[in-house]
Amino acid sequence: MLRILVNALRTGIVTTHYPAVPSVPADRFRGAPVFRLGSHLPPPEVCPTGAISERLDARGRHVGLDLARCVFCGRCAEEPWSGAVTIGRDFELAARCRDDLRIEVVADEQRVGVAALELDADGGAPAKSEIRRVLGRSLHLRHLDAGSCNACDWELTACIQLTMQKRGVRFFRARNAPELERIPFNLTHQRME
Amino acid sequence: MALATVMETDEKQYPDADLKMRYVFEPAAPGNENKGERSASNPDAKRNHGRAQHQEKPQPSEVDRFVTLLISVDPASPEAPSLTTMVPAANWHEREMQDLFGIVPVGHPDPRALVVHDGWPRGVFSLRKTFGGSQHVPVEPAAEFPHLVAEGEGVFEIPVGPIHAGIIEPGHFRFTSVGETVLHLDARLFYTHRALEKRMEGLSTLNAFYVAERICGVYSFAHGLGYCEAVEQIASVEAPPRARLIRSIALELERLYNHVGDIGNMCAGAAFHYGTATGLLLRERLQQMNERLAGNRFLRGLVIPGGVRLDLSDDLVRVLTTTLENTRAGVDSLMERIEANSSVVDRLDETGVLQYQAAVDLATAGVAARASGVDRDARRDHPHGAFASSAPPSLNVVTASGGDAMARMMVRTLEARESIRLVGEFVRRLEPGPLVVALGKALPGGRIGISAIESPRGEAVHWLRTDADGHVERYHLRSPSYHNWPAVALAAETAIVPDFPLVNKSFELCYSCTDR
Repeated sequence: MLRILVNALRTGIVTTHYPAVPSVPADRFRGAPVFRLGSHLPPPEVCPTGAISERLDARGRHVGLDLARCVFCGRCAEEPWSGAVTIGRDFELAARCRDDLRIEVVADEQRVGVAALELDADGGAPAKSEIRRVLGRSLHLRHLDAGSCNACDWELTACIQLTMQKRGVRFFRARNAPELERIPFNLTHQRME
Repeated sequence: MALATVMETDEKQYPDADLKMRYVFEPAAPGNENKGERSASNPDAKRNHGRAQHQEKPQPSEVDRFVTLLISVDPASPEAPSLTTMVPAANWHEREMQDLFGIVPVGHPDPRALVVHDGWPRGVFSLRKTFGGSQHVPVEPAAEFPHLVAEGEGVFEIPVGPIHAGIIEPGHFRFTSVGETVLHLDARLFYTHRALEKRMEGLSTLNAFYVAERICGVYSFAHGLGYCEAVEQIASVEAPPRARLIRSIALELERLYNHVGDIGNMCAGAAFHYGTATGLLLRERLQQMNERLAGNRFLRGLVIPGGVRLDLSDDLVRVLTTTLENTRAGVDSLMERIEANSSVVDRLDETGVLQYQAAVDLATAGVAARASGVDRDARRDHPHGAFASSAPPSLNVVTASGGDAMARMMVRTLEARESIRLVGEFVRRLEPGPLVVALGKALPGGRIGISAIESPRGEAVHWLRTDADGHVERYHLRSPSYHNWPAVALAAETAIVPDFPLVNKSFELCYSCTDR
């Protein structure tokens, strides 16, 4: 028992002060792909998950990237496209709306989802205050795995134990308790029962 | 002979135009022949409660062979005699075949549905070629699933799940118990069946790789590697030596972070919170190192068909060496605390016993098999990565005889130390050289690749066949958890209900790669 106390004291606090102190991911970390404006962007078939799309109109070739479909494999930034696409290290990719995850590049300009532009301009503020009003300062979550690969289950466990609990986020087991249900990506036929 | 996997193929495009069942067997490891003669002569034995011992290498002649029993089935009247009563490990395989291919295993002792659940329409078989992968399947009203339960005076039925209290994957457990004693456990899984094997059909072998790598989070590397080795077999190429070493390093790192995390989780099952927190911390540091190495905490994006995408620079080797030194010290210190804590040892000892014969009959894999005295390890029996070279490094296969939760924890501990030693050995062998070998424009059609990878939880068997265009025609993964789940139910029946979480955690099986 004494050894355990000594070991625990020696270990000290291991959690970080994120988000007050930004977290810097490793050099090789693969975050959102970044399209370089004015370069020849890769065709859709480069992407194994169909996250890259293209269409032609009077203004030229539009190349779209859907971050919700991206699995961050880094293939679009490999040769010969490494000049046109770089893999960014941005990992804070949460969005309030599905359209916010769509990015489009046409000719020399870059557009992100229309909804995102509105939210950022001013629509974001009321949404934020509404969330605060309904949920207060602590959030009770319930996790329902409807067909994950278990990576998110493991990461959530790590989040909770290492940082989230001290930020007022708690996980709940009972069906009536949670304020927010978190359902990772797909829904299998089995879970529709 | 042990059952490696069972899978079926729809040969509609081939001259036979039938359904084919393939029972793939592998030779039993030679270490299992003269079991009784092993003694606890190992110097570590006392320290580890006299349970764990090392086993030396087998004769090379028995290495890396598969024998396939091929059965042709008429699609008009699809049925075949069940082998389950003779080969118990075929049980789930045959139930799955009935669900997904519509082949009836005649004489199967338990022909209930396994993969498809209530509401899946009758007569729709998703792995037949006539079934379109994107077609919408309606949910039909269905009767309640017939759980296998015991009945009698004072017998209680306890349903648990499929949604659990913690953040874990879904599975339903139906216990029948008298008092605290478990009489029977009927586990119902496949809630996360995404038909990934169907999804991969028709994709190019490269595009399908990204699916294989994502079947399961914590085995991302092992499953990615198994798929790549099957592709390389079909293309008749070998990854360059440097790539093979980097693959083996990553495979050991995956084993290490899983084993360390599992030791912590077992502490959670035994209500030893210091151990849980320490395990989590050690695991977290290893995963942060994974990110520096592969750009991903689950080691995704490192292996690729033909080799590896990223090199191991000298700087990274230094980070690796330091982290592994710290991990070794951390594991040693944690195990000292566990062994000195009689309440934890008492919970683990003789809890959830899996007998040697049951482990053999069910063809259990990995830690669960080795902790019950079954000497099998795919790194030795089916050499892959750096073990598939002319002078492979020596590998100590750790086995124990207890078959209880403590034996599984000890096997994990010794294997974690062995993994650290192996990584050092692989790093010393690194020579400059190419990382990838070209696979050629299109892969040859109609060829089969089989690979077996020792993932953190045991041998995973990958079976891949290409179509005329060199795309994926059929892919099947038999994960170690697939063979180990029935063993959990057996082990649980030797325990009391409150110990089930501990028994379950001592196997630490995976739902997503069982369900696919």
